[in-house]
Amino acid sequence: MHEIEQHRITVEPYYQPYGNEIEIFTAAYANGLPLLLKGPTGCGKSRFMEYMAWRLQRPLITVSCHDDLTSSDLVGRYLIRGGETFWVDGPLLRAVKAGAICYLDEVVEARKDTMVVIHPLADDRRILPIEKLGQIFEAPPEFALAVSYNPGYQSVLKDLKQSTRQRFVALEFNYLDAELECEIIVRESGLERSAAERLVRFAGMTRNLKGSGLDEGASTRLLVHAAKLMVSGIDATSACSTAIAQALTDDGEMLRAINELSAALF
Amino acid sequence: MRSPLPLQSDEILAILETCFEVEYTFLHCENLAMTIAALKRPQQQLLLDSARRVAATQIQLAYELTCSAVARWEQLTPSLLESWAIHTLDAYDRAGLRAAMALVTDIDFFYRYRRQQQVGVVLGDEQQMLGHFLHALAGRPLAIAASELLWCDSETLYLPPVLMQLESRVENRKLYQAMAVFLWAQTRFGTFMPPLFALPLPLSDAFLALFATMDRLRLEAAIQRELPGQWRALQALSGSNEALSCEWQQLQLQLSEPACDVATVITLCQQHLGDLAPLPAPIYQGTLNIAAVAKVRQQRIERERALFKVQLTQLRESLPAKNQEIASAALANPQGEEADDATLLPDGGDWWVEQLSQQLPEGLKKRISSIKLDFGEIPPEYLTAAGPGEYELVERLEHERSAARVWEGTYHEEGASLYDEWDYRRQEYHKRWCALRELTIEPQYDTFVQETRQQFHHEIAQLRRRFEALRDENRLLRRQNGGEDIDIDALVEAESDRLQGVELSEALYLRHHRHERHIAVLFMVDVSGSTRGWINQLERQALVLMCEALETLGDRYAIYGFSGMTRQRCEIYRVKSFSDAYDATVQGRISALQPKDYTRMGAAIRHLSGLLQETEAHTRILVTLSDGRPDDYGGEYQGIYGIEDTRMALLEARRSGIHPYCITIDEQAQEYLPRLYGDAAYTLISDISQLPYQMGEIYQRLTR
Repeated sequence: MHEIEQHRITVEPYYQPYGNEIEIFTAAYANGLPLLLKGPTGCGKSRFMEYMAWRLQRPLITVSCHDDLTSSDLVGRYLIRGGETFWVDGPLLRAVKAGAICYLDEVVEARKDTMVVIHPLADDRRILPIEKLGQIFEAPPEFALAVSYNPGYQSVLKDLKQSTRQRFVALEFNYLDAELECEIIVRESGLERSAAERLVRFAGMTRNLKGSGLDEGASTRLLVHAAKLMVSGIDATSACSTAIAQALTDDGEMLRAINELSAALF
Repeated sequence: MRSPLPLQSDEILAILETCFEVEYTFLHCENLAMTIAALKRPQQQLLLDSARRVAATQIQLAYELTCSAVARWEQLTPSLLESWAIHTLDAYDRAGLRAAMALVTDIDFFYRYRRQQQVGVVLGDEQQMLGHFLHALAGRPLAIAASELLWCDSETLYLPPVLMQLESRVENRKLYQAMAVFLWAQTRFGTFMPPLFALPLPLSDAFLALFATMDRLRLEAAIQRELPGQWRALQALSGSNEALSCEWQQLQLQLSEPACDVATVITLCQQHLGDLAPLPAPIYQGTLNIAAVAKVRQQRIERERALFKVQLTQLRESLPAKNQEIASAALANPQGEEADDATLLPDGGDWWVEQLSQQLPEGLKKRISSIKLDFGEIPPEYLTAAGPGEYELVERLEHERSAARVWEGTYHEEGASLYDEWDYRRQEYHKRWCALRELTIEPQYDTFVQETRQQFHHEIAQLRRRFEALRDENRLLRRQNGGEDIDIDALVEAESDRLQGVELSEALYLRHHRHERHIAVLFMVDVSGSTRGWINQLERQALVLMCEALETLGDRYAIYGFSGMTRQRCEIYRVKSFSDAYDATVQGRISALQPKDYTRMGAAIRHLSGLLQETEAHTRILVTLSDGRPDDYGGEYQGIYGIEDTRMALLEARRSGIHPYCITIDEQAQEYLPRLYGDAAYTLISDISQLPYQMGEIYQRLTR
């Protein structure tokens, strides 16, 4: 099997749209515009990318960014084997060559100067010049670039450069309304509806505490984790405590409060 | 191992006499010494230690406590004695000698206290957890206060200071939570709605008792719907297994209807008054003090109406003229309910409805939900423009509540952060002891910074050059085991090695080394009264020099002044926060930094360490710029007490990964600074005029 085929998504991922994000993505894709997905962690950004890759029938290459990521890690590098040098494509170059969708997750985690390498790909030139090879790769129409970040972590140190962010069509993701979120939990975990509704209310309560002791409220992803544990026979309070409360905070009093909330709800 | 021999009564007498200063106080210690002599050595030690610690604060209190403890020795454990002593000292701090004496001499108190130590839970220990819990439930923070009576005034939940009714700590904790949830339910499910206040006063006790029972049943049903787990906990606590009478059962059904509100409860109450006895109240049910609630509610309504109208007027004035009418219509319905109305509005109206419902300022949204909790809707008269009376009220409120005004009117702790303070004599913290406020300095736009720049232009240029050298340039590291690129030189060498049959090196790559300083430094500047005059001037000049140089270096830095008077008014003056840019405002604030009062350093260090801690950086440095030892009004803080508290605050900072450093001009600094900062973490500048020059040098040394 060709290596790129591993990145093809063959089974439709479950994705619950909340607005017109699918149309916007499709239109941006058709016009060769890069996408910026903003939103808190665990609210469906990566799932949306999987879904769109499946829908558009393109391979999806995901790179989780971190602060040691260099531009060589993205475009590729020379390696040595048996005294010979040979070139290895990086994920970005592979995506360009194969006309895949390249998704840079948590892009602010990468250093600002690393991100400059995507600039020529993210404007109307849609090219990837690789100095070390002395070649310029032109992205085919099927290629798409998408990046995601969580504005909640935004600090002076972790912000996108204006020259980077102003190249993207931005889609904002947020926690879904209760009905849809409940639907997702039921679909993803098989939990019964009434329990899922309570989980969603529980999440709402933790989100009330954002900025007052919690950095973030419980994400949909955490709710799905808790729901899966519950379906496997773990009682609701333990599931909420291990899958949600402990994931949200280490503060003793806050943990107690969150655990008491789930005990009160279930 | 055998324990050491017990002390003899004459040895004990000598210790007690010193401890209680018998020479001046004429306290009789002979009998006490004889009784203690009969105890084992560890027990003797315990009693004498506690006597010493308390005597450091108040001798008479220590004497009485020791007598009381000896008399009840059989019922005491070491931890009980220790907590009893601390509790007594706390009472002394807060309410004076008489209150503390009462705790020592009152036998009932002792037994209550013993039970509290065994199974009791103190509100102070639960308050934070309950605060988070209620905040999550209500979606807004709710105030909690201690009161012997369990009730709610519709703004604050009053809970007992200690709970020990139930047989274990766990149960008593659950009881606190149940009480809090019940009082929250009163505000959430509309007990304090207009129908209750429309009743003719005074309400008879019989009516109130019946109303309390019925409303409880209604609230419990609501809790059962929303929080089934909590409802089960309430049931377990209610303790009554008796079945309800038929009449009550029927009423319970009616009261459990989701549509049942306080008006229905009142009607049912009026119907059954006289022919139905109220049910006994479960322990979590609070009392109703309708007159007090009405008063608080009235004050809130006036306040919120004024604030709402003023905010509304301000919002309307900020809108384009043609949208102003539409805006008020949209505001009446901020949640976008009854969206049909939108179609009745002129062109662009629905746009405003949408905009305003989503983009109302956060403060106004909260005010709207608060008003809705009182009335169920926004009363129409609220939507008229604010008049002069309302502006005056808002101004008065702002004036009263402003942190800067705390000393003018009645003392309040609003807007203050409370910090613990270490008391070395007790080896304990005074809990929530110092009220600290963060104030912003009004910038003074004058020529101070300009003049400093001119006067020191040479030094600034020099500092910049030095700081530039500190900036670690990005470098290319050769011969690495891994990296972005191939090191051709290394590869050629390796190839020739291979041909000669020598072992191959694996270090054939180039790696880009990028250095980030990632330093956050906070300058904590002493602006106590003693810096008046040229010290203050030099401090400010040094700050200007530092700012100018740090801008080159790119380190993150913040500047705060600190001063205050007594533990009730510790103040921090924000000159530049980490996120502020070094602009005209910050320069104006440096210029406006004037000497104030005293230096209670502990609270300032604790507050500023907290700020540093929130800042993202690999290295965090807290630089104190000071002219003398810690000191505060009344002299107590000046001695060992202040030094030990400051030392503890610095230890706490160090424990959280902050590097404290002190620059001082106090010539006696040698006496106390090594104990505070350690031998290597301070600099004494003997010639104050050198401060601006030296500060840059010290910083360079510190962060290299």
